[in-house]
Amino acid sequence: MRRSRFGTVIAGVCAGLLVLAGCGTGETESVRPGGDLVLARAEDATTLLPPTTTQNEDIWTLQQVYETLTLNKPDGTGVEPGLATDWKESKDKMSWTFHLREGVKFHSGKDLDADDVVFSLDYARDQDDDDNLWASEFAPIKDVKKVDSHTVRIDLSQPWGPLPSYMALFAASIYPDDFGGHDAEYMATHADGTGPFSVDSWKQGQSLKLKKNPDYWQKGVPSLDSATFNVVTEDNTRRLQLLGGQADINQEPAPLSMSQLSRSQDINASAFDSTKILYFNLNNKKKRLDDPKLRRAMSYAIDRESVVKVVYAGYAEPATSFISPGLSGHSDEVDSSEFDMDKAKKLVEESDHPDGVDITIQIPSGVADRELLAQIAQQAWEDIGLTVHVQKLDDATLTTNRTKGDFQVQVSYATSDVSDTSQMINFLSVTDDSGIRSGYANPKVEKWAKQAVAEEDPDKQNALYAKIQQQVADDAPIIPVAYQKALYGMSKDVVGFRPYVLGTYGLKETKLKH
Amino acid sequence: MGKYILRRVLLMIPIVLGVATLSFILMKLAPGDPAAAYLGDKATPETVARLHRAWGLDQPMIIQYFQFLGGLVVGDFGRSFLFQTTVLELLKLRMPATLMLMLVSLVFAVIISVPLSLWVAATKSSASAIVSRVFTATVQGMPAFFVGTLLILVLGVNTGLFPVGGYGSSLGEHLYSLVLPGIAVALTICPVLIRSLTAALSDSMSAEYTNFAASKGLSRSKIVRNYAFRNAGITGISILGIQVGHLVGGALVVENVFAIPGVGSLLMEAVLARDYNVVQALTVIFGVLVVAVYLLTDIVYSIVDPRVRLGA
Repeated sequence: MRRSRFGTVIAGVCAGLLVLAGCGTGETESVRPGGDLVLARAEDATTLLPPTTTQNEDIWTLQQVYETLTLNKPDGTGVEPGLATDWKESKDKMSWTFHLREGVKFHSGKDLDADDVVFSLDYARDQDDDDNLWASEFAPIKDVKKVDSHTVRIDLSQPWGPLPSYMALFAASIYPDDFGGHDAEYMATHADGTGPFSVDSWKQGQSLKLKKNPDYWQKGVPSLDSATFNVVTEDNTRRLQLLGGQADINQEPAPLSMSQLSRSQDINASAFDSTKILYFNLNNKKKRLDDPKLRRAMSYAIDRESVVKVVYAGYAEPATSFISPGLSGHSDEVDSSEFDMDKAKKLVEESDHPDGVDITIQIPSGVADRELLAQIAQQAWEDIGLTVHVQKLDDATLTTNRTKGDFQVQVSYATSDVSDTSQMINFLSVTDDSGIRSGYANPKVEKWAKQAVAEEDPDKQNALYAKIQQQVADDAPIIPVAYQKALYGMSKDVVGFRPYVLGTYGLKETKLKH
Repeated sequence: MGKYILRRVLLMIPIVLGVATLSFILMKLAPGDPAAAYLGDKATPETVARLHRAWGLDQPMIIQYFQFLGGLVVGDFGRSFLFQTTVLELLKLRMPATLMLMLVSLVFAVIISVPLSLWVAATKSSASAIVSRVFTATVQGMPAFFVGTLLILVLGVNTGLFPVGGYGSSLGEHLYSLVLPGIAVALTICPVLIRSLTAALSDSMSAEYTNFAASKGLSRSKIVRNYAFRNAGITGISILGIQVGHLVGGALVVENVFAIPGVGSLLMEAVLARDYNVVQALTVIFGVLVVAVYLLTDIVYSIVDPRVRLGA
């Protein structure tokens, strides 16, 4: 997903000046319903039609507008009822039945019924629509059928335990049947959901404004009258808008600016749990990096405690496994975070390349934390006898290189979109053509992953995930470095704002002091 | 003059074609695939191929080129990959802010440069010369994004006189929001403008006609206002015309700093996302804009100075 990088340059130049900037009074006022929450973020939304996007800015906004059959719990521990009140797996495990909530209305006024759900899920899993980027996530679904006006049955081509988690994926959003008589192109700029907010206006490149849905099925929420997402590309300008009171929330300030923000008495510099994991992506198919001993040596040489302190100003934790603790499948037993230069040097000697090798780390240019991380890795890996180059590229080139397998080492991050652990397992480890193109393929891991998805008993499922994590730690196809927090700078007038572990924000619970 | 203008307008066709071809080739040569850029960590060969089909990037290069040129002829720049709408729609939304910023910047550039140059030329004092030199040297040494941030900090955050970036929603709010960015962009062209205006004024002041005016007993300020400035103004106009290219560059940087939803920030996003159609459209439009302003400068030049005959 894309990131702003230009601002880091400016941030460096003006960091000193910012010390002067904190001013204002900290009056205590009561929390009352209403108000417009202004949120400054680096990028604008690109579309209002969920399955056609992979951008966080779209996803997080659309999750205020559209809802799904199940909803992710804020802490990421699973799903809770959304547009469906309850659901049940059939005895043969080949279908799931969902009962829909009564009395739910779309923003356009239409009542929600089973036809809407059948249409929406058929759209979400339409593999023939090239604009639909998430269809493969729903591949096990064979058919979606209306049972009665408020009951839907989903038939599967194979047993699929994580289905309720995937029903909370934003790409499975529920629209009115047949888009209310419109087409996909219309829906890209006109949303009609059942969520706590509807889209009030969208000035592309400038701001997107949501307004309260007065008919929202959950009584008492939202408290806010509206929420405005302003596009402010520069990190530094976002910070200044927060300091100047023009924005209530600064989304994703640079980690190194957090301590400055927290010095202002009007601002909370807040870090929230997330599933974000930062890792070195190694191309296991490249000569030399195909040697697990060398890869493990590289892992031992990284001092993660220092990285967390120096690069992330403490707003992260050393990564022990490639599955972050925000996901239920994370294993506490696995720990691949050990820092031991002697072991690292010994492993290099035992590897097929005792004289060291030449490797290049590709990083995005202008992203301060990753540049710093690459420097630390360069130093560490040179200390164990490797020759290391750092190559700065822009995001488009980095991603293209990755999809083509044209890299040795990249610094990347990943976040999970569903509360079920299977998505990250598939994404980061299992298959040869997984998203990160590490080229890692271990038949054992692949077998356990399949068993885990079919397993109903959560303990047994987690035991399988633990085995996978241990195997991946031993093979070191990637080097997990840190579990990053989701960072927000917030005015102290904002109450109850909480980004969920899976990324979106709980704006319906957010309130403003007046 | 009509014939001259027609010839210049016709000459713009090969220029536009050249700019269009060059921007097409450069974008295709740039490493990085728009589909991969859009998909980020969700990019797999399968999803990339899907978007290539959806965006027409699976077509042979030569077909894409002629589709692009064919579109240009009828004013259709295609669709933006990133924003999933037509480029024309994006331009309609975002061009006004940039044009307004450029206009406000030009006004500020004139407001700052002309009085300062006049003061130096009229007084010929060492104090005015020093002030002018220190000002131009300092401003020239400060990049626009730095000046912008400084202005935000002092006049936005600390005093609250102006908004900290943003663009507002009414004409009044737009103009109010453009004061600080307008100054920041104006300052990028002020040094050149001040120096050339001062030099032209000094030249005029030592010309025979000013000596004659002085011998008639006219005051120095009257000479500057009525004689020297008129002649020096011609230089000012041509310098201002040439600086339009710089204004575009300055606006690009400053729009990002001030969160102004113009085409400058759009171009930046589009380049990073390899949004080919948007980058190509903007390159062509800026190319046309600069050439058109040069033509306009020549025409104004001929009106201000009757000695200049166009078409020679």
